[in-house]
Amino acid sequence: MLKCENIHSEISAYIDREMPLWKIQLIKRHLGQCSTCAREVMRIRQTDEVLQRLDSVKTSDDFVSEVMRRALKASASEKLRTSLIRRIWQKFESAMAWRSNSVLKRAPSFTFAATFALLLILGMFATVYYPHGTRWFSEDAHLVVQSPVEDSTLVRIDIISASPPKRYLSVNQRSIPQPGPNISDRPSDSRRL
Amino acid sequence: MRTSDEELMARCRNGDMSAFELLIIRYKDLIINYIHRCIYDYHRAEDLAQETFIRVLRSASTYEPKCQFKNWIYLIATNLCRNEVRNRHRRKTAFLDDLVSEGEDVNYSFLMRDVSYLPDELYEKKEQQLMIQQTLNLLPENQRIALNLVTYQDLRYDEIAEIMDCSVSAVKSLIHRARQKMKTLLIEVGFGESSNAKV
Repeated sequence: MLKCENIHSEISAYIDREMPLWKIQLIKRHLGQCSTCAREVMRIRQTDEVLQRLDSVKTSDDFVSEVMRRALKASASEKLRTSLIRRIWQKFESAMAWRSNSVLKRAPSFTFAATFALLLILGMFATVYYPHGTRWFSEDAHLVVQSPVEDSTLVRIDIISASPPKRYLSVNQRSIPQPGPNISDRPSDSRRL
Repeated sequence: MRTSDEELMARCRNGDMSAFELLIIRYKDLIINYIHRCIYDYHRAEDLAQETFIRVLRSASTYEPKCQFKNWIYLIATNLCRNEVRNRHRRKTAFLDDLVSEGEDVNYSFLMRDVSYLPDELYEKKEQQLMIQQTLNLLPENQRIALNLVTYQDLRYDEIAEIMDCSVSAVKSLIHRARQKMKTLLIEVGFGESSNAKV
């Protein structure tokens, strides 16, 4: 059984039929028994009727033409904006000689500015990465090459000839190992080849 | 067969201006009435209705067909109304109706053209409408928008919830409170149960 306070919060939804059918039937049954709730529903309906008296207005005759005029103007400015970006890009392309051969003839000032900007960026790059005037090919590179070489990095080259292999090539002469027994087995193969 | 709004919007996205014109014709009266009831200034409402359609065109590329076009256009109009009311408060601008004299009252120019009313009936009708509108303006913004959408635009609660970006139960509560408040305010100004003769 529904209580009156539950009905009161549901009146608007009941009037707008924004509830399931079973609930509408339940409220309708309650309204048949409770005059207070029935009167409340009637008051809300009256309020709605008063609100409905508010006349509607109409747009002016030239409303559509005015909106279309504004819309065309807006789309034209949009096109202009995109075409401006495209024009700048074309200028850049031509200046960078991606399209034209005679760059200097077409846009000499732009080419000069672009080259200057490129050099400036390169200069900034060099300053940031080599701030103390370090040589680009420093001695560190040699140090890397001259560092002790592990045995595993040795390269063995068999000289295939009539004579047996005599030497190993290595960057570091100190770490040349003595020929192992497996190498001593090779001469016969080499001779065969 | 009637082309759906969503199809027209898809054509509009591809630059078909005739589809856009068709959308304007379909929605112009609904939108201007909605805005007019929110801000109660006919000329400004017409400007904002135009702005609504321009925004529809501008945002055509971002429009998702899964969202109903009707709700989307009301959402744009609602945002414009909110901005307008906020700017008015910031500028402390009065309603146009308070500024114009009776002879120049633009809000009732349509009513004035109607020759079926006698002058005194016309005057009474105008007074009633003014009173209803002023009472509506006393409601908080969200309640006024929700009531406007349900009473004059015949939208369902779930559609209003989508437009107002809130839950259906919140919409239900807003409409209930708005009606309760309107009931009290209308009785205070002479409408309703206590003055049945007028109703």
